[in-house]
Amino acid sequence: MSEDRVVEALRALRDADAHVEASPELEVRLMRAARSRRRRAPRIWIGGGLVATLAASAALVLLLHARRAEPMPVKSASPVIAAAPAPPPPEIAPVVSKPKPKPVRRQPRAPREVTTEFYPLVQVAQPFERTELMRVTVPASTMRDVGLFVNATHLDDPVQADVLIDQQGLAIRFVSYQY
Amino acid sequence: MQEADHQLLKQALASDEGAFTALYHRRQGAVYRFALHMTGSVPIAEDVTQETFLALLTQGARYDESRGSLAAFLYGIARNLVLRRFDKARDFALEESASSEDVLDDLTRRETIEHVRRAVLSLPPVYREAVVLCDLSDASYEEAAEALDCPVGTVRSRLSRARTMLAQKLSGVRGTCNV
Repeated sequence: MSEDRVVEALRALRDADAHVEASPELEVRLMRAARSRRRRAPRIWIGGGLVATLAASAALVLLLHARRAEPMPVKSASPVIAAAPAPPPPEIAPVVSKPKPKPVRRQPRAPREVTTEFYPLVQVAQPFERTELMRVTVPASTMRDVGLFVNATHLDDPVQADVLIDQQGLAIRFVSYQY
Repeated sequence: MQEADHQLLKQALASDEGAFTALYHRRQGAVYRFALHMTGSVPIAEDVTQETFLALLTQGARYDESRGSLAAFLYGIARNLVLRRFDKARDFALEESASSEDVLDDLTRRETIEHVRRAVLSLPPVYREAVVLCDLSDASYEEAAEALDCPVGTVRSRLSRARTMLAQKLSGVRGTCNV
């Protein structure tokens, strides 16, 4: 087949797709995300239900945590607060039979945490004089609430998040792992 | 009179939502079709389109109109996002369809176009992007070179090589030239 005929075939494909555009829903999502980003600097107000849920879970975790041990104070209230706990190492089954020299196994490298920046949720003074950071699990739709893009098919997926509480209010960041 | 792209971008960067919307309406089709032709996936093309325009809000200040058109700048952003997707999942390129066998004699126009689409998707990305920009989009060689970050001569040579590959892939399809 000659190059001219290839160009002709490609032109037919181009013409067939000439009016293909992104869906109107995408524009809505994009504008919402853009607005959210613009507003992010001062604060982000999100649904009261989410805030109430997060605040309640934060209070509960704090209460339990305070009973077990005095929490470690955080030196500053900057967004980078503390390293969150790494996932537990894989369990190794106990040796039952006679011990044999085992080949040295490399432990799998712990996945590296990747986090987003903190997104402020509320800026109401909290009854805490110290800064607390806790790991919670929330639906992926929460990411959309703060303006991050989430594929519609994954809105119900659980994602890990760090909730930060200090005197400035409540903020959240999201966590993923790189292997 | 229509405002130029760079003027709309300036206004959009100054939080003018109307300007951002106008710019989106003007350029989203090309960005979306580029992503669609590169990936063959509607959800991914939508993701890439949204991320491209959000990136424009954060990186738009880097755009220099003396260096090229905003369309080329947008193609460049979209291309980087697509390549990032390729890095994450290396199976985007569809399997080459059975080009050595003749398909039905009475290929409809639609079927032939789909065949061309699959042939384009089966090209290695470096050649695919040249074809998508120069043959399936309205990008000039200069704009393609800007988006692909390479000299115009490289664009031409990749395009020529891509067309040769397409000719081989499509050689078994009767009616390709009749589309």
